[in-house]
Amino acid sequence: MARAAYKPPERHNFLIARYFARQEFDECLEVVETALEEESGGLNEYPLTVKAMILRQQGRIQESLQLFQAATCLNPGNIANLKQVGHSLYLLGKHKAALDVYGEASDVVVVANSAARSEVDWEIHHNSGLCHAHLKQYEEAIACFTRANAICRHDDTFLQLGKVYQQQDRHADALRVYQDALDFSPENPELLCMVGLTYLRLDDHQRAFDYLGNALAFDPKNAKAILAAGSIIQDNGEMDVALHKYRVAAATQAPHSPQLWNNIGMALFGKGKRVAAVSCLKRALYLDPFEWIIAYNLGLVHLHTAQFASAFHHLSASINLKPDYAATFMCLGIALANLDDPGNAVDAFKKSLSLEDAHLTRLNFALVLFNQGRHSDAKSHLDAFTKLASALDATDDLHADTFDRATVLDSMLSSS
Amino acid sequence: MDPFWLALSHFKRRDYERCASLCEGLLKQQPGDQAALLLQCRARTGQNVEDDTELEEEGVADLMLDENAVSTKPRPGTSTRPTTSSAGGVDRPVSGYLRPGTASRPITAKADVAAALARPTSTARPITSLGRELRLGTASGASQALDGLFNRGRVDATTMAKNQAAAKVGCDYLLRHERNPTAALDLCTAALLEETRTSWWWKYRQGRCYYQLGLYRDAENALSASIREQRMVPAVLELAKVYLRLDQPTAALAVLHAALAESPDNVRLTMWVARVHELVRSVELSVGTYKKVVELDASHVEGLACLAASNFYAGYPEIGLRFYRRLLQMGVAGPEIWTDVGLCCFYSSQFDMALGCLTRALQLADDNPDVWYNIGHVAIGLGDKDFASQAFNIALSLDNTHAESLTNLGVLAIRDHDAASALACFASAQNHAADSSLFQPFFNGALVARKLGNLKDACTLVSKSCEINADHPDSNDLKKELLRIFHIT
Repeated sequence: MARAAYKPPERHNFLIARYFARQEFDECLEVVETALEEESGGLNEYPLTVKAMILRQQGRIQESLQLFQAATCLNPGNIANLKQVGHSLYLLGKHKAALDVYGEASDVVVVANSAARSEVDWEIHHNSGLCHAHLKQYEEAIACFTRANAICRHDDTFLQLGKVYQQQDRHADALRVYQDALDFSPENPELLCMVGLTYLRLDDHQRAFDYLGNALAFDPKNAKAILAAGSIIQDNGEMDVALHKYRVAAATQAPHSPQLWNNIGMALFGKGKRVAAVSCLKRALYLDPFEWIIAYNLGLVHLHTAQFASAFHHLSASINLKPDYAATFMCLGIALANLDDPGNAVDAFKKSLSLEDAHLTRLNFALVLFNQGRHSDAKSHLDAFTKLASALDATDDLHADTFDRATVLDSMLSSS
Repeated sequence: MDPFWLALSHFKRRDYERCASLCEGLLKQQPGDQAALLLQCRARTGQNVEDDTELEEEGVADLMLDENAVSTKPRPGTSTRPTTSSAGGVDRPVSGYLRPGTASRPITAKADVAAALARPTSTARPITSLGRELRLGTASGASQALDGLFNRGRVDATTMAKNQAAAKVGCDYLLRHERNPTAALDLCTAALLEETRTSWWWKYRQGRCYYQLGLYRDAENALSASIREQRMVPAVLELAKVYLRLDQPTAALAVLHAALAESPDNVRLTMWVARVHELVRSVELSVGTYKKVVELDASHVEGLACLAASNFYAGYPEIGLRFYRRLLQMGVAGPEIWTDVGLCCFYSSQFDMALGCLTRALQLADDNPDVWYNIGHVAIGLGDKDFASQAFNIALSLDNTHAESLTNLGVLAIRDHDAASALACFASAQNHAADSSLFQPFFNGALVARKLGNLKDACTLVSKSCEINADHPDSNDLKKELLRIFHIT
């Protein structure tokens, strides 16, 4: 009697591994199914794991989690499976449960490597850090990420650590993290872009621009970098260059970005193309009606086109969304003064001054008061303006117009 | 006064009801009075005239049970069926958008309803167009017993066809009043055997009978034959309608253009060309044709309304406003028009006017959820969040399945950092938006889910959003990002 030849249960594994590596998932799943059917009623670790991985890539996380858990039951000592269970839980948003699993996994690691305790898995720490970050336990998250980096350095860990610092508004720390990461991988456009943005937050425009330029050199279509670099260029008054940058972003990367359209609108406004500016800003406002700065900009452009009623509407909308920005009230005051509502105009200027004592507000207030015939009040505000403006460079082009007007007003006040 | 003369006078003044009752009296005295019989037929026909050249909306049942389309996967631009990939981005909702022509004729619509209530044979428009013919037929079945003018048991088709003039009246009577296309078809066939001089007329009627019976291929043959003999505009329009039913807009356009070559300034033909272009979503061509329609007839309601809507969606609300104003001047006033005017004002940043117009719309519409929804939008534009959420809540209280309002309430909840109620709003919006082209609740829900860390739900939702609108770049970006996270293990 011929005995049935012994068939090792892992005989399908090489095929599964090959299909999986070649990303031929349909064929892979077929082999997995046969392997699971033939051998021990589905109790086969490797096919289970591979099937779970494929299901995850298709976005079926819940089923994938169950399969990983089954694989863990078959072989409780396999850390890889435990880690996958943790990751699935993380993807499902069950961060606490994921943290428990990761704790268990690191226990297993410690038992396995009791001889060399330091040799622990960076991935466990990285992923625990992600969970802590989502649970807003920032200190624990930072500790986890630092430990992960101590074992093995990864761009992703650096980026996440930086993000945690930024969520706590610790920009200097974030910058230090990003700089460390750049030492490790100097050509990562994402990192370069983040460094640039952090410098921008710390108001160091020159360095920010250098890093953003670098980021664009490696990835010329990075919408975030284009937008940031464009805004710096725009701040320096080179509208055409900025528009050229934005064109790349608008055409290819982010046609529905309200910030982008806002910047395009203001660049066009800077070039004096007001109608085009209004239509771009309107598009931006259509895309994000809750962004106060777009409404403010629209109000500003309408002030320049002498459409004071429209300006008033947009400025009041902006104030509804952000009631503590001084410049909005100043513009509102100008609009109201031109709409023949002197009482409310004066109130708006007073509100603006109570928020911030700015030289432009003083000058505009003085002008409005002068036009109302209240010369002594105008004089006092003009004096306040002179005091505030003495810190500014009068020869600068940006301020030339302001000083001209102040001089004219001064001479008119003294002659009357 | 001679009652027959009086009846004729009433007929000329289109007072069909009195004319018919006078004839009724005449026929009671003298049952064999042919003249009275014919006049009564014409009066009854006149009562039931509706515009056959009107574009018919295909109902859900028609679409589901449709076996006429030649190809289930037509090439782009050759079918009127919506395709998923042709959604035109966020700027112009293609399938969620009513044809302005049909929506903005409230006066005629109201007259229709009033007439339908007054008459036992209802002509209110039901959901399926073929169903309409059938239903109308059954409705008039009751009245048949009352007058029974053409007692077809006594007068058969062949005898009737001998007298051409009477037969024509009879044919129209059968088609329009009795809604009996089978009998009318018999008459047509008999008449075509009798006479050849006006056979185009009979063939046209034959085509209409076939169309009403749902035999589109036969209708096509009959109508083409009629046009070959004598090109008449109604026949051409009927043929175009048949082609649209067969889902062959290109053939319909060819017929219309051939007719236009002969009479280039015909408004109805031009209108139809524009409609067909719009149905196959070649917006620019249709707008150009609508412009021509308005040039030919400066007070063409549908043309003006379509031009206004297309200008509005093309980002020229001020120009749209001018067309709407013209419509208002012409006396076409309804909630839809006032809403549109309000929105045009809003987008040309005349907020005070916008609210005034929307209030007008509310007065006319008796609390319509759509109007309240638009008021909510204006409130968002004013930056008044409380007013906005109140408006959306009112819209929901009027129609608790108003998905757009639910979505916007969700967005407002996000603004108040209330993720849980935002998710609830989006979830119920998703339930109600299942059959429309609304992808926003799915996309917004995905964003909130990702923020909360539930990447799996985020992925499911964003996939759904991509399914509905494949051209939304933000959805695609989010999906790519999520799949990347899934791949890295």
